Amino acid sequence: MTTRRRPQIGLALIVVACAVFFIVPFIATIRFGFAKPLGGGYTFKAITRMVHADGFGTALWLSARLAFGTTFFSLLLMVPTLAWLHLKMPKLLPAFEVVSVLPYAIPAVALVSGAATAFRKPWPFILIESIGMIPLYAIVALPFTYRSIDNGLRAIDVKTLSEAARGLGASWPKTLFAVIVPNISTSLLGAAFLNIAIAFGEYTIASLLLHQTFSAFVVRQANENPRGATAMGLLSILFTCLTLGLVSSLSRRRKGGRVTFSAFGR
Amino acid sequence: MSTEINPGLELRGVRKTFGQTVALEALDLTLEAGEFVSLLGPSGCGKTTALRAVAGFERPDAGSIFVAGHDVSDMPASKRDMGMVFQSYSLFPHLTVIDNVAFGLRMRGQSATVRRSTAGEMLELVGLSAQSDRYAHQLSGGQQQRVALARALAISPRVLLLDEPLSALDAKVRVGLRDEIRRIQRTLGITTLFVTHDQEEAMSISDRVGVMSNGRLEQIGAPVDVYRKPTSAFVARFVGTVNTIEGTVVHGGVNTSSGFVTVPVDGLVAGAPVKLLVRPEAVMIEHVGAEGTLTGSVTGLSFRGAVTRVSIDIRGGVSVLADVAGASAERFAGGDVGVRFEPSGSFVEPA
Amino acid sequence: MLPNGARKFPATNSVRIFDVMTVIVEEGRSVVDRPSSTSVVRKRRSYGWLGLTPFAAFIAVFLLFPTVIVFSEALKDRDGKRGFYYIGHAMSGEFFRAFKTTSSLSIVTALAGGLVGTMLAYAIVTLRHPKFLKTAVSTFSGVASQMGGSALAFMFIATLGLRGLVTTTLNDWFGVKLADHGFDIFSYRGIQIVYMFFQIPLMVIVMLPAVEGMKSQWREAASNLGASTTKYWLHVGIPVLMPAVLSGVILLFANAFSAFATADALTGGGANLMALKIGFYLRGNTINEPALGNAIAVWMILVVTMAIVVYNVLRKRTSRWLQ
Repeated sequence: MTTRRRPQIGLALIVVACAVFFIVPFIATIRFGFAKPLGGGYTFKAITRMVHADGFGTALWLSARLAFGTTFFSLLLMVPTLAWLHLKMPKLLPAFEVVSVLPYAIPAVALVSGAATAFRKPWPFILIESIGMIPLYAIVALPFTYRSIDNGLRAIDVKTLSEAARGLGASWPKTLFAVIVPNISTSLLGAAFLNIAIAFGEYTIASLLLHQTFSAFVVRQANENPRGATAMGLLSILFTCLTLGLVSSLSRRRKGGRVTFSAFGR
Repeated sequence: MSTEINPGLELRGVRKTFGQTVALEALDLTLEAGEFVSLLGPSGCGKTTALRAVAGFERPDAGSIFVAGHDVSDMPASKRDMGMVFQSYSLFPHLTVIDNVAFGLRMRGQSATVRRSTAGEMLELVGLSAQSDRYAHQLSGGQQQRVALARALAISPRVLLLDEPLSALDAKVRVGLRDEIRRIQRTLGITTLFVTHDQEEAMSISDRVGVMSNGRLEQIGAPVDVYRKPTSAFVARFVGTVNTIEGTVVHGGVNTSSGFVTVPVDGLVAGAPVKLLVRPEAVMIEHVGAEGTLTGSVTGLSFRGAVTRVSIDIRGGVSVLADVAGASAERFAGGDVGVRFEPSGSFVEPA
Repeated sequence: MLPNGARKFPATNSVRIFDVMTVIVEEGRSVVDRPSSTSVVRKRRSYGWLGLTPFAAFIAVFLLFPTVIVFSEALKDRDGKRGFYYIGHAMSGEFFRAFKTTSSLSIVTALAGGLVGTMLAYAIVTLRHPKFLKTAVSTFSGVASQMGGSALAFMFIATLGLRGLVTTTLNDWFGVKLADHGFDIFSYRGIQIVYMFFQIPLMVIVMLPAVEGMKSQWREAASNLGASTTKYWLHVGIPVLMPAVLSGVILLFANAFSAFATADALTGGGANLMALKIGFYLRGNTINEPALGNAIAVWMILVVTMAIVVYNVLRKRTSRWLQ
C-alpha cells in the first residue's frame, strides 16, 4: 500500500524538529567549551586548564581503575554464573532474569543511602576506599552485563558445546575458558564496553560517597572553569557514544543482541 | 434464470509497472459469477500484482476492473466490497477470533447482535466455533487461515480473493484446507480469484487455471486442458513434469540423437532445431526393439505408491523419466527397454 | 568410519572443539570413540546450588542488604525505636512537595517524551528516504538514552543558560529575551527540557520494535474489510500499540523519578526533588536524622518498583501481539 504524500511531510517535520533539538546542544557545547573567551576562534585552552587542574590526573586514573575493576569483577562473576545456570539449572533462568532487573527497582540514590548505613559498621572500607565502589558499580551494571552474556550464551548451543568438551575429558574450568568464553567473545566484549561506559559516566554513587572520580571532579571544577567542564563533559559524552556505538554494532552483527537500555548515571 | 450473464469479475487491459519493471502487461481476464479461477505462476510473474490490483492495493497504470458489471477501478480498496485472505499474519492480534470475523461487519455499522450471529455462522462454516473467544496467537497456522477466510466471507463480498493462503502452511494442512476452501466457495457460490505458485494446488480445486509468466497470461483453461494441451513450452513445463529432448524437425516428427520420434510438427519448418517435451506418463515402455521405439536402459526405479517413476538412459542421448502404473515396472529393472512417446503427451517447442 | 576413528551416527550435529578433533554429537549426548578416563557420577542436587553461591552472595551483600537497611532505618520513630514516624514525615511538608515535584516532573517528561518518542519511532519506520534514517536514529537513541548526569547538564547550560547559544541567538536575532518570559534553565522547566534529551530516545528504543512489529497485512486487511485510515488507527493501530506505548511511558516515568545526577549537576543539589533530598541527607548536611533520607528512599523504591512491575506486565502483552 502506497503511503500518501501528506502524512509523509508531517512525519518528516517531526524528524527534523527532533534532529534540531538534539544537535543544537552539541553545537552549543562545542562553541562554549572550545571557544576563545573573548571571541574570535577556537582553542583548547579551557580543556588544557582542566587537565592541568590539581587532581585531574588522580581522578581520571581512579575512574580508569574503577572501569577496569568493575568490568573484571562483573565478567568474572557473571560468566561462570550464567554458564552454570544455562547448563545445570536452566529452570532457574527466568527467576534470575528477574533478579538481574532488580537494580532498576532500587535507584542508585536509594542504594547508596542504604549502603552508607549498612557498611558503616561491618566493612567501612567499602565506603572509605574509592575502589570499594566496584561492587556497587557492578550492581548498577548488572542488567546490562546479564543480558549481554545471556544473549551470547543463547546464541551458541552451550549445552552441546560443553557436553562435548566434558566428554573429551575437559575439566569444568577448562571447559569454561577454552570452549565457552572464546565462543561468546563478542558478547563479552559488549558487556565489557557497557561496564566501562557505566563506570566512566557514573556520577551518583561517586558524588554521594564523596569520591573524586572523573565525573565528580569535573563537576567540582565547574564553578571555576565552566568552559573546561563543559568541554570535558562533551569529551566524556563522545567517549560514551563511541563505546556504546561499538556495543551497538557488535550486537547487531550477531543475531538478536538487543540490550534494552535504561537509567544509569542519570 | 436470467439470460444475461453478468461476469463476476472482469479485468480489462490492466497494466502495472514498478519503475523499470513491467509487472503486468495489459491483462485481460473474465470470471463468471461463482467461478473459481486460479492464477498460477512463479514468483514475479505478476499474479499477486493482478490480485492486489483487483483488491485496490495497487493502482493500475492502465485498464479497468469490473465487479458484477460495475467499474470499481477508481474505488478505494475499502469500498470495493471484496473479501481477501492474505498469506499470513493478517488476523488482528488484539481481537478475539469472533471479533476478528465480525470486524468487517463492524466497519459497516452492523449492530452487535447481527455481528455476533453472522460471525458465529461463519465460524461454524469453517468449523471453528469452539475457538470463538481465543486469540490469533493461540491458534495454529491452519486455524488462523480458516478464521481469515471466515472474516473475509462474513461481509458477503461479491468477490473472494486469496493470496497464496496455503503457502505458509504444512503440507498436510494445505491439502485439507484447500478442499475445504473449495467446498465453502461452492456452497456460497462466490466468484473467487486464487493466487498460488503450487500447480497441484491450482489444478485440484479450480474451475479454470490461468498460467502467468512475466506479467502475461500465457494460457487459461480448465485444468485438464491446460495440462493436456499446453499452448507454450512454459506452460507445459510449469504445469506437471516434462522430459526435454533436443532434436530437429523432419517430416512427420522429430529427429533426435537417439532416433526418430513420431510427434505432431504442423507449422514447423523442416530442419528447425526444437525441444521435444514429453510427459512422464506419455513415455511408454515396451520390449526392446519394438516398432517405433527408441532403445534405452533402465537406470532406476522409484516406487511412489500409485506410480513408479522409471529413469531410462536412452541410447545415444538423454535420460528420461517414465511414470508406470503400480509396481509392474519391476520387471524392467536393470535391463534394456524400448521407449515410445505418446503424441498426446508430447509437445514441440522451437529451440 | 571417519578418518579419526569416530563412528558416524545418523541424525547428527557435528561440533568442532579445540580445533583438534571433530566430535560427533547425537541428540545432545556426546559419543566419542575413545575411552573416557573416569565415569563421573555427581550428586546433582547440592552441587547445582553451589555454583550459584558467588552470585547469590554478591546480590545479598550489595543489593539486598543495603535495601533491607534502607527499610530498616526508615521504619523508625523519633526516639530511634521501631515506628512509622519518619515514613510519615518523609511524605509531609516540604517532603511531600518534593514528592509532588518529582511526580509531576516524571509524569510530564514521561508523557511528552512518550508522545514525541512514539511519533519519532513511527516516522523513522514509515519514511523510506533517507535510507540510513532508521539505523542512524536508533543508534543515536541507544546512546542518547544513556546520557545524563553532569555532562548533559553542562551541555544544556551552554545551550539555554544565561549565556547559552540559543538564549543569545534568540536575543540577538529575534529580540526575544528568555529571562523576560520567565525561563530559567535551572528551574523545573529547565530540568524538564534537559530530561527530554534522554526520555525521547528511550521511548524510541521501546517503541521501535513495536512499530516494526506492526504488519502491513493488518492495514490492508482492515482496508479490505471497509476501514478508512481513521477507522484503522482507531480500531486496530492504536489498540495494538497501546500496551507498548503505556509500557514506554511507565518506563520513562520510573526513569525520571529515580534520576539523580542530571538534576544534581544542574541545580547544585538545590532543587526540591526526592532524589536530591536523599542526597542532601547523605552528604551529611544535617547532624542527625539519617532515617529521614532512608525514609524518602523507601518511598522512591516503592514508586519505582510498582512502575517496573506494571511495565513488565504490559511488555508481555506487547511481545505477544507484536513479536
